[in-house]
Amino acid sequence: MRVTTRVTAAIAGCGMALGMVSSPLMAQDKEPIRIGVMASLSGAFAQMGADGVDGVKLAVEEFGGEINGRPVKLFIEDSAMDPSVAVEKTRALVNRDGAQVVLGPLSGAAGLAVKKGAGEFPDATIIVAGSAAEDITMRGVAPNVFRTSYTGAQPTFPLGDYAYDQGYRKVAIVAEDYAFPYAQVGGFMKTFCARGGSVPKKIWVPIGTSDYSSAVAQIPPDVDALFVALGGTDAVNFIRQMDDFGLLDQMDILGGTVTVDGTQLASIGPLMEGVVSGSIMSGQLENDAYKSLDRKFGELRGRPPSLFVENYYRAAKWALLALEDVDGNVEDQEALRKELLQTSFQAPGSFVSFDRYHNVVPDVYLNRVEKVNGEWRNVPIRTYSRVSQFWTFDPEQYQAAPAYDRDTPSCP
Amino acid sequence: MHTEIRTSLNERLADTARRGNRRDVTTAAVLMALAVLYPLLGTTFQLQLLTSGLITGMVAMSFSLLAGFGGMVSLAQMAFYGMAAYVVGIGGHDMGLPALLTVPLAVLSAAVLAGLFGLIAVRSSGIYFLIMTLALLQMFFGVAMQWQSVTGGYNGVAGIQAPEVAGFSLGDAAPLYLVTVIVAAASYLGLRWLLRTPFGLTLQGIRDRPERMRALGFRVQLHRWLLMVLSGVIAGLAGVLGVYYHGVVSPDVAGLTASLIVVLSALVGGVSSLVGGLIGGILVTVLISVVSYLMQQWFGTSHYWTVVGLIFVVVVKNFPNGIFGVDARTRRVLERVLTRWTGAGSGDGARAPAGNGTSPQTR
Repeated sequence: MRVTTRVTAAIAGCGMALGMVSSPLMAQDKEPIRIGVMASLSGAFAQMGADGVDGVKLAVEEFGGEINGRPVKLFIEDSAMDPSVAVEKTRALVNRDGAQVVLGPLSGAAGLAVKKGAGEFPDATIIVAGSAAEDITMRGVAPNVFRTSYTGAQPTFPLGDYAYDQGYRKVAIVAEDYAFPYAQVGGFMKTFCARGGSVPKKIWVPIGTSDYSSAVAQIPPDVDALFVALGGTDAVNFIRQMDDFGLLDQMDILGGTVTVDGTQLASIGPLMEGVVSGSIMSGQLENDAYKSLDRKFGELRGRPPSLFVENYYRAAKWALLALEDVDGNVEDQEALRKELLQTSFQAPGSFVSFDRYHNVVPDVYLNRVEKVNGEWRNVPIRTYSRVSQFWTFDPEQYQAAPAYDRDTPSCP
Repeated sequence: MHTEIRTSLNERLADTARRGNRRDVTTAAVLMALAVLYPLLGTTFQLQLLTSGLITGMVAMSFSLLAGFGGMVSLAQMAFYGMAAYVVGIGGHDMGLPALLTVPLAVLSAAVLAGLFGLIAVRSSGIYFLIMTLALLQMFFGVAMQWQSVTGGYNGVAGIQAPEVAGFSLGDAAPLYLVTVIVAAASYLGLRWLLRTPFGLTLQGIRDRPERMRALGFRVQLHRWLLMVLSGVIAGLAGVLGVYYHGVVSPDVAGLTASLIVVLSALVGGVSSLVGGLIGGILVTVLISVVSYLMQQWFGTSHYWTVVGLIFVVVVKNFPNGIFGVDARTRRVLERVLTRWTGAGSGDGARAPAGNGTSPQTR
């Protein structure tokens, strides 16, 4: 008999679960504005995703949790770095929770899948807050997809320029083997090779590699510098092992956008001294928006805001500003998208606006790791203002070129 | 006296079997009717969730087919799924071939891949077979990731358009759901039929006593290989539906998470029953979705995998053979309940004492 009860309970539970999935609209004075947030909340990128969610919450708080009297209700889902999952979660947010604005996702392939399937969601605006795959805002623009973060190449265009200025002529590359580093490397090479530099060797390693001895062994001894486009613990492990092999002092290191973030600096700051990286953020910015985010996030988590906090904060704030301008009328998606495209503001990273391909135009900082007041920080040494996703190249020609991958571009 | 008892026993057994068949047909008809009518009631999202669950369930069914009826625990099922998905993606999206061509080709490719894997794997058994299939799955993942010019590498193939069937686009939730229900039901019925043929009975014999079957002159390896190919076809069908459902295929389909979800679905549903895989797929998919939603809404946290894991521990502990498995206790209770229900109409036949018809029939 106990078993029957259990079976019945299981079946009832399943039924209830299906029922709960379609949670009824909350009866409130004013219909809430429903914002879905998608970030990688499990696996290797869980911390970055969690940072992003914090960023969104801080932005909503700033607006008092409401727009024009309509409460803002957040729905958060884990896109798990997997494009199939991201598509399912977007459906959950839009079809189940009734989200009219979706912020996210974080990873490149996921963003691309959501953009290409965005025709399925005519009544929702998707604001990509982290995914850096170029084709989200290139080679075809989706009317309901915007990107507020950056393309993978955007922050590394200036780095290639800088590397040539520094007198480097031959640079080897160590990067993770997936779309984001392809674009980071692509941006760097596009400018570096255009000026006459060469990249004799590109070493692609799988995400989550812990032993870099074979990668280190492949670095040609005659290069002037090494461009490291690794993220998270990969960067930490690689730099540590470069040091173990005694190579760290013999070579200048250039870093990708997520190579030198607060977390890495906290663990291996001294080893990273002098590393120059390209980013849309910096550890030492003087504008009020940054200081306010720094203070609020510091109160919340006791550390400076990471790139992902800023990215998601920026996306949420952008959406909320546009919503404010349309008096919270999120149902008129046409008007909202039009307003969004025209909105520009001072984000913590820099002043930002959209180009006509729905991609953000931010400032890019070249940061050098230095010790400031006893703490290792990214200090901006150069600022390139208003960097387009096409750098200074012609948009048509740029889009006609093949997308970045392991072998493109090439200048050995 | 003895003969009397025997005849009455025989009659009763035959009667039970007839009732069992009638019961199965009725249950199936009711379930199908409910499933087909569900789009009238359900929301878009529920249909999508059920579609996803059924697709996972089909892969789980292909897993159960190998594990429960061939004694081969395979982690490679998602590779066959992925193969079909990639063929549809590359053929349909990148090369612009019509679905009428890519879909059969996709299922065929999945079968061929399963055949190739089978050639290597059927020689081993037990834990070695499991590890072998895991290695093959990783190989598929590696190729999907590395062979960038064809597979699109890490990004995979995105923006795959679903074809139209009888004027309805499979890109819409309801038509795809209905097609999925039909394909899943047809696969289930087909396999069920096949397992009752001499071929199917031979397979079960091989599972239980491979040496004896070999001694009897059955070609054990060949049977195993054929079963592997068959499971590849089922997983391939799921892959076709899956790629139209997601609109994207990436190496993650053959990742460990996806493969483990399949295994969990099969375990929850019961490895020794085919329908268990289907139901398990739906249960697990709904469970993951609901737990992740509720954890966010109630506790504001994303640690839903922890809760999902705990639920699995409870399920596996209490239903070691899965919710629909041939667990003696569950079976006894289910039989008693069902006999009472169906027996109520046929008058005194219902007095058959419950609880003694539990001698192991199919294991």
